[in-house]
Amino acid sequence: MAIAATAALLLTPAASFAESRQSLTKEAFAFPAQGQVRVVLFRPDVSVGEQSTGGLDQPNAGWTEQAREQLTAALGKAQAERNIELKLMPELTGDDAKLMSDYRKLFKTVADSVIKHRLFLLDPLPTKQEKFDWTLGEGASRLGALGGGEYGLFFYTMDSYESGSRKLARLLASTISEEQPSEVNMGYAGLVDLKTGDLVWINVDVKMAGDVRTTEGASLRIGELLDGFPVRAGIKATKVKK
Amino acid sequence: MRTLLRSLAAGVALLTCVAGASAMSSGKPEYGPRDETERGLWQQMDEYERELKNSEFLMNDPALNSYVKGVLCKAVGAERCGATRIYIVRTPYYNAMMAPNGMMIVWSGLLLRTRNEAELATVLGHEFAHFEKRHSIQMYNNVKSKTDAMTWLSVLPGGFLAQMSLMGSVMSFNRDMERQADLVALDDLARNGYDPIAASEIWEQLRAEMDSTSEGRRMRKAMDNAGDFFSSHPNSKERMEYLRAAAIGKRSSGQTMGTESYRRAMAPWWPQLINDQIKLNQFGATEFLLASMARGAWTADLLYARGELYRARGKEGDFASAIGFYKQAIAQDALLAESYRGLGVSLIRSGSKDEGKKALKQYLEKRPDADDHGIVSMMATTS
Amino acid sequence: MLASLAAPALADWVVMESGAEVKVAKGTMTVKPGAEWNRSSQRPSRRSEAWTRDGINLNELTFFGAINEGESILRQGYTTNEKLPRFKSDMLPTDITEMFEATNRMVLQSPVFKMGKVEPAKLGKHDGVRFSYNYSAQAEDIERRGEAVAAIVEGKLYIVNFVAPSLHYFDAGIGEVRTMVEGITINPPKAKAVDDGKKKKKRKPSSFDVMIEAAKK
Repeated sequence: MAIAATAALLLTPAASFAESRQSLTKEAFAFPAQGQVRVVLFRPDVSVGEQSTGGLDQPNAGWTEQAREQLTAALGKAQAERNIELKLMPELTGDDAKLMSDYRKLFKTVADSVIKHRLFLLDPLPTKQEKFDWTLGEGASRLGALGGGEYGLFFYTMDSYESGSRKLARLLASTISEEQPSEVNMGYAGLVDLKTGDLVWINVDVKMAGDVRTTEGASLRIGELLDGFPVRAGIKATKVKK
Repeated sequence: MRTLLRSLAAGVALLTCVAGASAMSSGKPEYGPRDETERGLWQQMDEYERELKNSEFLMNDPALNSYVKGVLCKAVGAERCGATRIYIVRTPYYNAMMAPNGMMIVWSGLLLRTRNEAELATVLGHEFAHFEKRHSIQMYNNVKSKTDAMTWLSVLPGGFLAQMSLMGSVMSFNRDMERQADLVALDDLARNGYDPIAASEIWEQLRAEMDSTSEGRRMRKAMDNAGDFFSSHPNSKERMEYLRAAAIGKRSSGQTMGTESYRRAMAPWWPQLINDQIKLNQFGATEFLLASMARGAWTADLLYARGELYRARGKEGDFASAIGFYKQAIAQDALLAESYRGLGVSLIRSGSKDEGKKALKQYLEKRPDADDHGIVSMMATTS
Repeated sequence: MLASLAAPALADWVVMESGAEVKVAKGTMTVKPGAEWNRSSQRPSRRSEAWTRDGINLNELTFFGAINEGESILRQGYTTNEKLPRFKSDMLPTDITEMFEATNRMVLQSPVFKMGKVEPAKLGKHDGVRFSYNYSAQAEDIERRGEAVAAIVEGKLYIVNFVAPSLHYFDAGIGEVRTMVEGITINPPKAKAVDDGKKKKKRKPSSFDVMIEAAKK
């Protein structure tokens, strides 16, 4: 599902981004050096499709399922290396499902603001330039109770690959106007402290590497999405090279 | 771009994509997706459905939902309707649509316009027939090369409701498919105890609604452009004729229109449905709709609605007309508190302050717990 | 209500300092914010201005000042079909709330708009009406809450409106807004100022206008 800010990003010529990837961590945030850290992974929003000539985003069930499995597995591996327990949010029903859905929408709205007003400086808000203080509010602790963790990880990735016929059409420059996005490979991840609801880390990439249809690609994608992910206190973070 | 923006803006676009049922719910092997394209469509629809379940637009009242599902089940038979899940979405336009995974969406504007169970069953049965006959997959393959809208869809802001609507607008069925769905539905209806004449009657009414006022004609043109129900369901004279002809041979004494049971089921929802229509600010279309619902017999509810419509427009002479409608409504049903409110405001606006305040006080007596009690009390004593 | 209008809006922003009196909506009102805000260069109508703290999507405070007889609350360009309702100076308080609701339903293209409590209130020292509501725009499907205070002063309409997601952001922001509304001063435009307003000044088109124009092509 596209959100407003990501749309704005995609509609902006790529040349206007110095870096396609931007991340922010709340000042001085690190996971505690000792003790259990449990991160609840909310169901990743994954969409993988193929664009036919006209650009109709043809959903591809195989790719999307494969991508979700591989992203989840790769994410678990990355977390194990940090000595963090990754827990999948169980499938919820009724009021719990509604609560999760409401927070997912709120997170997207917050991410939209962060992306637009802070990360890529597309539309910078002057009062926010020295701060990273967005939050979902303390009510988000209810998600911690449902998922059994101290932190929550939202995860969104959208890929649309060009089919052969579309590539040809583009070469002929006959049907596709210039400003139309063609291949789309974007994603973001956001970490929320489920005690306070504060967004403690976000990473957005509008031009991601890694073909999530393959195991190696998914693993590469995870590496990118977790670029700058907070570590345990006292450990130096590693930066993934593009 | 232009098409997309307009579809999103109009909010009336249509869908009806569809074929096949879900492996998710039916468990019948013959209903599952058959190839990669179908699997992809299914899965996308499953994702939409996941969101729809928690949408702010969903009318999830259990009684209303079980009633609508019951009508479909009666129309097509209990063993077949099990493959579908119905979602009632609050959108004040006429539409019903069905996704390939068995998700059926009914817009609230449809519930306002259908006059009896048989008409509702006609529309639900028609959509169900497209679904069972897998019409949408054929169309989906056809439109892939036709539009670039979906590229934008995947990156533009716009909720899934708008996206689904757009999807529908690129997936209208051809004439043969429509005819097939019409006749299959009509057969089902007649066999299962609904009067099949309802099928031609509802198309007639909808056609009349669109044609009978200049504003209606303008709207119809706009809606055709936006790809709504009428552009995907050609509403021709021919169609009404074949539906009527087919119905005549299938009518029998045991069949029902279900007018009274429909009215009872909708009664709690009617004020909201009509309010959503009035607040579209489409005076001509709403005026015609009210008249066609009344068919000469103006009930208190309809008179109240008409008063609200005129009062909201507030042009020269409108308050006087509104006052007349509210008074007639009150004469029929003195308990209809909101009529006193509308009457009071209209009287004050047209200069009869004392009489207006008196009507507002009557409203307050009848609705002591109204959300606007505070401000109306003030209006009833000062202004 | 800018929040739900689908445009990649790029505005210029100016900081409104906490505790400093500032004139808003072309000088028609004076307020003293209790926290830092960002003021957008993009106006929802020519008589209004919008502020935010965390992003228009998350908290939006809009001041509408001196709306004249015959004018709509928002620009007509926000909706493609029907005419937005117009203000009349003899409107009753409930007419104002109904106009506000109808305007938003049309612009947001959403029937999911519920008016809550409507009660007498002061806008600064003027008698007015306070109303709360919640809604969802079809394009976003997130529930928002709003609270507004409106008053008619010398035949012109003034509205201060705060909107934020129901989860967290509304409650977090409304307290300070209420204090600001209590202390507001209304500066009805003088006759001369009205004449100035009527001069046909060419407005620099905003990205909303550009989008709307594109949609019409």
